[in-house]
Amino acid sequence: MNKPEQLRFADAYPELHRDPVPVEPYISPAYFEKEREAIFKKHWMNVCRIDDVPNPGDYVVKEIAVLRTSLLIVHGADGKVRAFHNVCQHRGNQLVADAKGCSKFFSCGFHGWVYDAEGKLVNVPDANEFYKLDRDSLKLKQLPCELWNGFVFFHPQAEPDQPLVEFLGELGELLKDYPFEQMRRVGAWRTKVACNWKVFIDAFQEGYHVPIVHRRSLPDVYVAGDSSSCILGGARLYDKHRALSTPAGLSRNPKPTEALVLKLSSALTRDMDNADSLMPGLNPTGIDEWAFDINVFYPNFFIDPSNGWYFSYNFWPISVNETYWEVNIHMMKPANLAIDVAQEYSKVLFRDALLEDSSTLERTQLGLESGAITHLTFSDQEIACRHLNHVVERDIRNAEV
Amino acid sequence: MTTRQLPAQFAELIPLTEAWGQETETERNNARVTSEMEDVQAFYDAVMPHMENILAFLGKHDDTAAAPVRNLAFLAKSFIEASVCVELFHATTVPDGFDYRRFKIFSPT
Ligand code: FES
Ligand SMILES: [Fe+2]
Repeated sequence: MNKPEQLRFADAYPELHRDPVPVEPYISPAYFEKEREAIFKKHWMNVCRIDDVPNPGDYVVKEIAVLRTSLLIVHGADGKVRAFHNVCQHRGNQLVADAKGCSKFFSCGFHGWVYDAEGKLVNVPDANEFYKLDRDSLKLKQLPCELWNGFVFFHPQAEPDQPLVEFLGELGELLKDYPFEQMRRVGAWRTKVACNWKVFIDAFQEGYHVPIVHRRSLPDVYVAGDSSSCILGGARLYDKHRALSTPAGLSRNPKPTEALVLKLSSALTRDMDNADSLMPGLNPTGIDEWAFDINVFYPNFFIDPSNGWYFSYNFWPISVNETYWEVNIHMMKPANLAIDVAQEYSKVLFRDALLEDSSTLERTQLGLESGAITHLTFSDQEIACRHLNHVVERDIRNAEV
Repeated sequence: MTTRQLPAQFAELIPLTEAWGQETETERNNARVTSEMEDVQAFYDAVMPHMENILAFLGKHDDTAAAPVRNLAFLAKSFIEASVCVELFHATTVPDGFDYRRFKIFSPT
């Protein structure tokens, strides 16, 4: 049976068409080159959290393949976090080889030029052999870098066309008081998958797959009412970002271990059932039986929060059909070891559910590349996938004019 | 491998710590996915009757507790790994899942 027309998400977004969406953007190397220029070189992107570089001197190195660069994120002595291209200004050697560490200075492994944490060139061996050394122009190349709620963002251009908070917009405003700082990272996973970045993102911005893909790990968990479907309780499309809310089937009988841990802590499978104590920014459409929200910051960053935990995804394209994925899950600091163990249940279940999700990705990419399918037939429940295609297409078109 | 100390009232579980008491997710998960399902089931069956008591005990301690108490928490976390095998997957790995060896664990604990 079709839903009554007035209940469709699409009705609120007339700028989105309802036709099948071409496969081309998911498989074309030429299209990927356009995305690199029009999207990944032009937007604020989250690169890590402040807890990756908590103290002055702490640094991390991130390979950003889509920008063909390596970034050096440094917590300066002045407390500021900065982003540099990890490239020595002498002859271009990669400056820092370690993935992370703590140091006041960075010394190049080729000829020994030394930079400080603010990117200043502070030592050049045999400096008087150079004809002229303009140290000011030989500073590390810095990129705009800003913090929002402990998330470190950088912008690939020297002059971003808007400040970070303005870019995060309404969705950032919604989450600004969520207690990110009271949580600690409990899980972190990384992998490289042979699929387009949009195939990857699409797999995590709809609930339609849940009763099939997660039939083992999450049976009847994220279902709406008495149904066996994961019908999303809200879809909010912003200019470029988008958000969804996932339902929770509260009538289900928990599994034995789940029942034990639910006495101690909110869990991945079920949040505290008491809506009066929801943390700020959650369940903005006020659905009754709610599990968590899916907040997608364009182009490649998710924050999916619930009442006591949130997970985040960063999707980093490598090529048209390769993507590097970073997943982190944070939970409230536990008051005791029993809660710590209870939280482990959600962490382990989440990780294993991600293995289910990920199983579809490479098969999907191969299917798309086979030529046997030319268009994707998205339902109203997959409106976020349609929106992503819409925004990508618009960015590319705007870059061409 | 050797066993680890546990608080006195859980002494009967000490032999289990040899295979199931690792400190990190990487090690605990590795123990799970490289075991036979019958061994995972046996571990689950041995610990399940104690879980309520274990959680009640751990509820009185935090991560500054003495080593035997923390060891008990590690054992309970291994039990969590086993519980999803027994209660959900009926297998040591995720059926039809992405290759777990490609999914690198960087979790802090
Ligand atoms: S390339 Fe770095 S010192 Fe020469
Ligand atoms: Fe999923």
